[in-house]
Amino acid sequence: MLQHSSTTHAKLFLSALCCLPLVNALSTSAFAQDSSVSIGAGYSSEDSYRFGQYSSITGEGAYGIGSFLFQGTKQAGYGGTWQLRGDRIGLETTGLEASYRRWDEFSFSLNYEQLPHYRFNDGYTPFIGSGTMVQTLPPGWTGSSSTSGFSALGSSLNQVNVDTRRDRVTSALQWHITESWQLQGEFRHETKQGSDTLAAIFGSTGGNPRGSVLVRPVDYQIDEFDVSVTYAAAGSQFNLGYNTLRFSNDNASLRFDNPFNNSQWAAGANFSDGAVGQIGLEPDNVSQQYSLSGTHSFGSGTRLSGSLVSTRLEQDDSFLPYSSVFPAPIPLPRSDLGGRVDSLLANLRFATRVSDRGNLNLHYYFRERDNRTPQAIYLRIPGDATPQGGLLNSSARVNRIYDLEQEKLSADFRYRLSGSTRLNLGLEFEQTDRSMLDVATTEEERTYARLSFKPTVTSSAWIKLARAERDSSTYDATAPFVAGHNPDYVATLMGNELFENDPLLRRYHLTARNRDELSASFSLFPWDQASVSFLAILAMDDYPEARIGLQESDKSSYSLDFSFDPAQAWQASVFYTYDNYQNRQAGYARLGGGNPTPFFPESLRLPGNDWWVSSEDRVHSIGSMLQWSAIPERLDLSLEASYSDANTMTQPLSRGQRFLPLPDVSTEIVSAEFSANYRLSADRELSLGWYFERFQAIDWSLDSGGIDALSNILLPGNLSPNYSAHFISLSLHANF
Amino acid sequence: MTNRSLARCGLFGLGAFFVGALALLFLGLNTSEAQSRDSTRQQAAAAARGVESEDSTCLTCHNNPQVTAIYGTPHGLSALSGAASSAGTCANCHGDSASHGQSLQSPGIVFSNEGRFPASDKAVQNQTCLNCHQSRETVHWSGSAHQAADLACADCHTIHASHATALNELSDASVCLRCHLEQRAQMNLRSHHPVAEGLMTCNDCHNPHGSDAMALLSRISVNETCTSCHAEKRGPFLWEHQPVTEDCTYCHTPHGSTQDRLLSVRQPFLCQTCHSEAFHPSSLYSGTGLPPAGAQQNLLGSSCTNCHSLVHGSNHPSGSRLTR
Repeated sequence: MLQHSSTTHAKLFLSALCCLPLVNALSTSAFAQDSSVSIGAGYSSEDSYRFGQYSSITGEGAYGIGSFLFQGTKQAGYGGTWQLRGDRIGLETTGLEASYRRWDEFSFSLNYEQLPHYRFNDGYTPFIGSGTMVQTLPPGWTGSSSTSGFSALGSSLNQVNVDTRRDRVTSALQWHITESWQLQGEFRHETKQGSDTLAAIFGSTGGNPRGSVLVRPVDYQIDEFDVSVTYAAAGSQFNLGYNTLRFSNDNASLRFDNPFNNSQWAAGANFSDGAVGQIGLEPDNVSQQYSLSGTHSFGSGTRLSGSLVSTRLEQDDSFLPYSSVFPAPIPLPRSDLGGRVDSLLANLRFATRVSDRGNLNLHYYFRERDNRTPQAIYLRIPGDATPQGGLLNSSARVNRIYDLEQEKLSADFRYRLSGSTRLNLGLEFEQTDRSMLDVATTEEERTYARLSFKPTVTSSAWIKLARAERDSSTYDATAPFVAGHNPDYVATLMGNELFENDPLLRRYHLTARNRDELSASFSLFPWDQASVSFLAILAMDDYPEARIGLQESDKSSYSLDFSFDPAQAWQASVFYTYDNYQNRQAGYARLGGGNPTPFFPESLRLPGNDWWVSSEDRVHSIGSMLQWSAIPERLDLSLEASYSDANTMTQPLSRGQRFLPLPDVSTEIVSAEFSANYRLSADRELSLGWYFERFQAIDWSLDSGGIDALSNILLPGNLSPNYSAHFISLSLHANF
Repeated sequence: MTNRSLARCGLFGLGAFFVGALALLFLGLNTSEAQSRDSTRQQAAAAARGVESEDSTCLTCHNNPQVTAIYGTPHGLSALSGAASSAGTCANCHGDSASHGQSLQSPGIVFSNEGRFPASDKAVQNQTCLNCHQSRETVHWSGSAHQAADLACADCHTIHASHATALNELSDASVCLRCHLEQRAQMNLRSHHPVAEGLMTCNDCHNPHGSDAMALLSRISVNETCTSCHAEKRGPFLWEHQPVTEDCTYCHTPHGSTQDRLLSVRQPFLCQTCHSEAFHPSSLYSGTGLPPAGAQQNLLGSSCTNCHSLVHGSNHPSGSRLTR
């Protein structure tokens, strides 16, 4: 949708050239000071959405790029400064800003930004109207129970692009009403338009869904207004604020033709019946927030600060019907959700100097999420292929409204043992209460100690140890099921049927966890022009109660940095980072047709159905930079290069379940950037740039088959990105 | 890159060279006039405002562009507006430095170790800045993570530069990433926010001067920070996905990930850490689900989100399984 054409590039380039007389005129005018204009052009060698995912340089061809900065100061009396700024003009990442500021009186700014995001353009779909709210199948389409039976698929495919662009306008005002009082206001209007992928599931047979991954429209709008009043005097600050954010979605739903026929579906639900499915898209919402914060200093080293923030989030979009195919005998309980979530956040901090060498910080934190959305029984229709069921089955669902209440108390003590040796000790306690979940309460204690010191005159170091222990209240595996189903239906079930999940599962954010962290840093400055630093971070999480679910999660990260400035004309640096992330999780395959062996009681479990998966990410990152003032005051050269090699390894294991190894997923990104800036005069500079990027990815989820690789789901069929791209540019920079 | 592309690159480079040369001729190079303007600009501006006379003692020795660039910044103006003391720009921040001027002893306050005098205690340095910079942004400095790490304002901010690095939105990530090395590596991964591309800054999510929230977030929570841009995901939905309502980082790593869409772990295994229902959520997924051995819908394409794509919540009355 947003792809450049060569014609567009040429027009932009010519437009940039047409700006040259303007540059010349401005450079000799008297109204601007310390201002600059850059105009230039670049050429990309590659057609690749991934290469231009954020730069918008997605196609081979020429691009005109310009930037400007005009600024000035009123020189009579007291100062007022103004600025006009434009960046990356000619690309879809343009940024424009106008600002005016009078010191200690007021400031105003108006800002415009574009943020594109190109995902892929090598996908295909048979649907007509891709990227819109109504997507239909082409004439001659033949329905089938599986994708392999879509005989007209090959002749019906159309290429699809998936990309979005944000356009953001922000205006901000700061007004110093008096020396102590200040008013701040900010308004943001943002649109996000383009496309994304969305699963369109129509029905299922025996638990196997039938659907298509479609390209959906994205047409969002965000409007945010923020205003606050601040009082600031010696020793005290207070702030009273109001914020409102409104999200609007121009598309309430997406309607799509069902491409499948299936003999198990009710009459009227098949492609041959002309059945149309419907998916709900994100509803509009609006939030309003009031905040009060302040801080007061009681003398040297003692300070009390706090904040209180109250937010209300509401949503009342009209509901779609249960089904777009069959009428629902039992109607919706409401016409809209009437959704409302109130949240409250409170903070209180106390900081004091307990001695010439010691400081103590105390912090209390309270957060509440109070979901006041009305609950009701909804007789859901799992897919549009099925008529509505009755009240006494698993399709009669109650919407779960999740509440949260969290309290945190922490103490942090810092003590200067000697001139450069400092000790930091901390203790934190956190309690979280949740509703409608298998765990009602979790409690966590965290302790840490950090020592920083100077081993020698030319070095510095610090080491930090942290330990956190989280406990959870009694596990009630039936709670989510009971909370989410019609109570009359729940009353008909046996105790061992009230599980959504395996009762031995412990979800990682709700269960007991032991976390140990060690981090250390050492920096050496062998002489003034060089530095070497090393950083290591190790973290280990254990989930001792999780027989099913995440059991271990480890992280290690090592970084080595070296910078060298041998002379004023030279600057060099290089870094290497190795990151390793490991997870180990366990599962239990509860399979076996329509009536599998129950999870409970435990004696009925089949040991051969246990399985484990270990996954590991290994990432090597290397970066280097070299800057050389080849001809002082005349020619500056710069070379930057980076390399990132990421591998994801997944190892399944089971005693009784059939398994095969999964291939590694890898991504290798190499980039290099060279620039030469030649100063033609005190006010003119010519820049030559070259950027190279090579992206090589192997990903079995994308590269294993095409759009009909799955028998039940039509995929877009996009592949892992692989490219080598060059971008060269030439620009002229003028100061005046 | 094909030979054809290389040839186009070469042709373009040649063309760009001629265009550049043409542009230079067109613009003209009035070098002497430009140099003259450049050398006197800062001082003329300062003199016009009357600053130089107050700072004249300092400028006797420190009259070089690295120092006088401050006259083109708000700090250079602050001494003129009446808000600051009448002692002139230098003394406003560097304190009483009479002994420095008379006998070359250390100035009242020294902000970096680069000169011949050792830097002042960082609390003293920072208090100098906080004397004026009392605003919403700095209200939580006391007790913040960066204060605890013994950072000085001057460690990130270059006061005497007309385009201070940490005040320039295009480059302030580099200031943060000098210390946050793990995040620097993450931002080079395949899935990342456009920070390295200059379209976002660390300040879009964090307030380095301190905040009420964890990780110095500028909004009150992780979710408020994320949904200020991704507002479509905040609901409230009829069918909520509980972890989504609590903390986006349960599933996403915001600084960069080896997986698509900033997911912390690959699907379906990420989903299976919380979902072990009978049938497909509890299955072991392995190479048996990849061609040629098989084709599993929870492995290929978008994995679980091939069907459950409304994973952040659904408002469809039939959408309790987040599929519609």
